[in-house]
Amino acid sequence: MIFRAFIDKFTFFFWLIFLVVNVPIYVFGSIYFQEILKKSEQEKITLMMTTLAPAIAFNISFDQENQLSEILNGILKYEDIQKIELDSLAHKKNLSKQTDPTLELFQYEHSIIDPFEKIEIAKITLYYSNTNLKNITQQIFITIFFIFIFALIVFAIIFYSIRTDLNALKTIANAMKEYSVTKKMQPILLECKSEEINTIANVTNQMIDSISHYLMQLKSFNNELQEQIEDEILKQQQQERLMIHQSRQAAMGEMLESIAHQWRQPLNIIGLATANIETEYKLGVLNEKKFDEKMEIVSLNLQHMSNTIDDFRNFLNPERKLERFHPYKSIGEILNILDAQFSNSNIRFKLIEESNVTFYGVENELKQVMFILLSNAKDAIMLQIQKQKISQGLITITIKEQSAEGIIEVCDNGGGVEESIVNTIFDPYVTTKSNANGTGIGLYIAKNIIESRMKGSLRVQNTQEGSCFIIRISLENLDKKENEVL
Amino acid sequence: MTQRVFFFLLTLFTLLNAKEYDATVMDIEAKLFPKIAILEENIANNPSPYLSIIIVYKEPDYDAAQNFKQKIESTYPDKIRKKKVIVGLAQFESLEIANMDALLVLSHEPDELERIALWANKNKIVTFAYEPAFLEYGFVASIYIGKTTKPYLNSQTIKKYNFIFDSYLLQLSKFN
Repeated sequence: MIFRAFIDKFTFFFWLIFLVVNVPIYVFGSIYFQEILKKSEQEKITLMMTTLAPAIAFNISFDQENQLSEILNGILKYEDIQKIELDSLAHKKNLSKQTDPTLELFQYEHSIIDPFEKIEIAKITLYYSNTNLKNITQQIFITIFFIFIFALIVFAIIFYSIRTDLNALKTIANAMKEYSVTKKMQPILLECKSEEINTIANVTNQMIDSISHYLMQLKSFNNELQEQIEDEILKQQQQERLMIHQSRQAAMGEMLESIAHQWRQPLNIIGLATANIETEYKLGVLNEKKFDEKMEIVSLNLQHMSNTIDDFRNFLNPERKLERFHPYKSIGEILNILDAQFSNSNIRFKLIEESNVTFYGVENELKQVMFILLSNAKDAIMLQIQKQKISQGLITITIKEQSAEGIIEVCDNGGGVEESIVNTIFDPYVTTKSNANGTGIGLYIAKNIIESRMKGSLRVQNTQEGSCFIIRISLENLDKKENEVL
Repeated sequence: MTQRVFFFLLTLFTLLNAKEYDATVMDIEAKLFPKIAILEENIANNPSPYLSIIIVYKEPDYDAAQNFKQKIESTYPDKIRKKKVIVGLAQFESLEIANMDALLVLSHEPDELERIALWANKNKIVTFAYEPAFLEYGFVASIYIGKTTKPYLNSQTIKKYNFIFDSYLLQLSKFN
């Protein structure tokens, strides 16, 4: 285990620091330190020779062979000096040590000056190596190395003694790293004696438990909320179905009135035609030609009535077929249904097609919307006529295209929407109709159909004479829409 | 005839009293004595351009003294430490203190040697004895000849009469 402490990643940094510090020292020492020592060594030898030169000179001068030899041998004892050569007229000496021949030797020459004549009487040459310097440098590096080894051992012992705590911290760190609210996590179990680290682990376990607990609560709340939302949606759908049903009921009521208006004129014509046939037959003036003319009139009017029935049937057809359709045609059919009522109520209408626009969706749903808007316009105009504010109603329906949107504007001169309810006019059960005709769900249904089924918008704005209801439906990606299932 | 006999006897007596001087020793001493003398502080500091050495002899050693003089002069034909070496011969009775730096004393009777040494030391004159054994009479220096040859100094005299020699000389010298 202690061995692992030497190779652990913490110790790796120690070795790294060791190399980072020691290598520059070694390089610096190799280049500069030895140079300094070498210079110092040269100075030392110079000083030694400067000191000993007078003694040597005296010994040469007094022919003191033995003492001269003693001095030179004394110099030779100096570790780095490997060889001495003395060259004078009376003395020639060559002293050397038995040294490694590969050793690099440096040369130092010193003149020996006669103490009496002040002339050079001899020349001494010293050959010295840097053995001492190398030894010093080596000792320095060895010392540094052992200091580091000692520090490493101390470090390893400290690491060994705290490894349990470090492992415990590592376990906590790994657990926290892998923690996820979506994953169930086992409690952190430690074999650590450190009170502080155990406290951290316990607090972490408690925190994880708390989070799990809150997560479960949150899930439960979400489920409850989901159920509540689904209930509310169901209720809303039921409510809407009910409202649509009511709307259709109301529409059917209005339709019946429209049918009555539509059929009144052809029935009168048919009645008059049959009465004429009968009268002419009794008078004996009925010939084949006249009979055919009258029957033609009856047939045409019956055909008109039949068409009217077809229009109503188409409108009330529950089939929801998705298709491309021209709003101009759809609106025309609705105007056909309401034509008699409008005439009866002294209301004129204009259907203007500025652009040949094509929508994709359920045609009947747009018809239902247009029916609601036109019926409301008719009611508003009739109210204004009753109040004698206007003598004749006018409804203008404009179909146009603007900024990749198909726009249908339904404008009337029915006095407009009161400002107090202009923001809530599309809310359910909001009506301006004082009599029992209004259910207050027509515009809500209309907006709902345009926004949720045709992905468009419906808004209202007042004009000087009345109001304008504006339908906007995007014409972009019409082909894509064609592939979608509504 | 009587005169002839007298001179013969005198010459014979003189020759018989004359001491033999070794040429090698004389060479060494002729070489070293001036060097030792010039290393004495009083002589070295003396502004005189001469190093005056007097050889003190007795009549029988005249030739030896002359020989000594020639050897010194031939060894130092030029200056030594900027001083011209002048060698003179004198007998003790005729010695005068003036212009004298050192004495080289040849053989004398012991009492004479003592008197010469005493006189010279009192006058701060460096004395050299041809015979090392003469140092016991109070001479300052001689030459020791053993396995090696080196200056031989009388430590008592040097100390007593305050002669100051160069330290390097002291290092390589032998003391009695």
